[in-house]
Amino acid sequence: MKKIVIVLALVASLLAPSHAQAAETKFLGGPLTNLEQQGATINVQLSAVPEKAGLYMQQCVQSTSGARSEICNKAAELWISTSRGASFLPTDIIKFKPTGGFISGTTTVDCTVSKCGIFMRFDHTAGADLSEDQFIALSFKSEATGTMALPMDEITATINGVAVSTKTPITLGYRELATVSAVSKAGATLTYATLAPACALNGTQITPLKGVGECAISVTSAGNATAAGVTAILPIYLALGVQTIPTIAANKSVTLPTKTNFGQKVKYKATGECSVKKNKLTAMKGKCTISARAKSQDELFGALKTKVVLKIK
Amino acid sequence: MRKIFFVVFTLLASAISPGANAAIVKGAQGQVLSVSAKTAKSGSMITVKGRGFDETVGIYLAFCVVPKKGQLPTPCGGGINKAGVGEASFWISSNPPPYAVGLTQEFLPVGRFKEKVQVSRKIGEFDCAKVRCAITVRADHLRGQDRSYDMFIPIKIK
Repeated sequence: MKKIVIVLALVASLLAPSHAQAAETKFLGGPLTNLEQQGATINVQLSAVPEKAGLYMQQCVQSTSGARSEICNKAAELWISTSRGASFLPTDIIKFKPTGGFISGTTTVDCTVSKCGIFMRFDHTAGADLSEDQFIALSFKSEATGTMALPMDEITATINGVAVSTKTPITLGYRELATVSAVSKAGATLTYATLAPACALNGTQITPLKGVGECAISVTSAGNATAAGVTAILPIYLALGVQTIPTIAANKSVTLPTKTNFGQKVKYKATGECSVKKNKLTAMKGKCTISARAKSQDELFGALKTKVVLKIK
Repeated sequence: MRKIFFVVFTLLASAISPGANAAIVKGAQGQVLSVSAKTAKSGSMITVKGRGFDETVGIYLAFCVVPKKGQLPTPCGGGINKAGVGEASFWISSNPPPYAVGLTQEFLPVGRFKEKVQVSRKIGEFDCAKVRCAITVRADHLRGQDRSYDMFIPIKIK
């Protein structure tokens, strides 16, 4: 009897998606077996999706180490979220389109040989949380003819020179101008778009319009004769902007800036061999310390609290 | 002598407080709209300033007939300015749709803007000497039904 229980437990563990014991999201969909090499569509209905964050749904090769899948098909990657720009809402009937083979980096994957499946995880807003990681195995028909699909193009992107990908977001402050730059491995034409109103995009210049939350930029390769098109999503975390004032010259009489870079009024206090009246600094020979303060603005920028020490000769 | 004193005093007073004819209103999201004059001659320009507007929401700034409460402000001088040109209406957006890039005015930091809006006695068939007309802000056509961004400063046309 004990032996039967162990066998049943083994069978159960084989049927259940890996990590599924921890994930709250319930996956209901099909077909999952004997899929066509090209053009397969899996209709998925999710339930009990946590509200904490969105989900990524990717076609990946199952990791053998227990770590997250690293070898994934860029062309079969969906963002399930209520955020603007997401591929599907969690309540939608999700159309997932895996392929029987794909190229990931330098690795060519044949899903009739490797164990491919749907890998689900929390999106970038809870990137380190593994509790929704789960893997649903897929199987494909063997390739009948020698027609191999074009490999997916690969996009490498930077924002202000820093490498950014779906899994490695960047943080930008309110009104911190940034430039997105991307390269298509196949040399295909790239187009850029903003996926959230919190970030404006003018050509390749990004302007964050909020100091909290997040936004995302999409980079789409049109594909060409050697590679199929693909879209990369570049998430951006938004942070409060930094208020600044111009450098104060170490002179005996200085007109101090009345407003910060965000237009907030600046209040000054002077100690040492100097005094400030309104925005006029009058100093004598010696050390002069000026403290400058300006109010913060909710969701846009933090307060200015700075001290400047001048040595007047 | 008394007459001269009165004229000088009036002139001085108007010079010292140029904002005496100005007006300011605060919106539902804390945004502030102000005008340089609430009485103006037909065809004249009024300086309109905004501050604290949500930079993620585009707006139309125009001189319009004040609608019934809760209704879309219309008609407006210059109409809906999807072309982004003209002095009777402005489209202010930091994140316009692709077809409108270059046509809109961007918000300055902290949701600020400053425009000169031309006011007129007539808006279409409406006579602003008989009906209430106002410097008006509303969310752009991407949120055309959202009335929570509507702001009005009535202008009296001399």
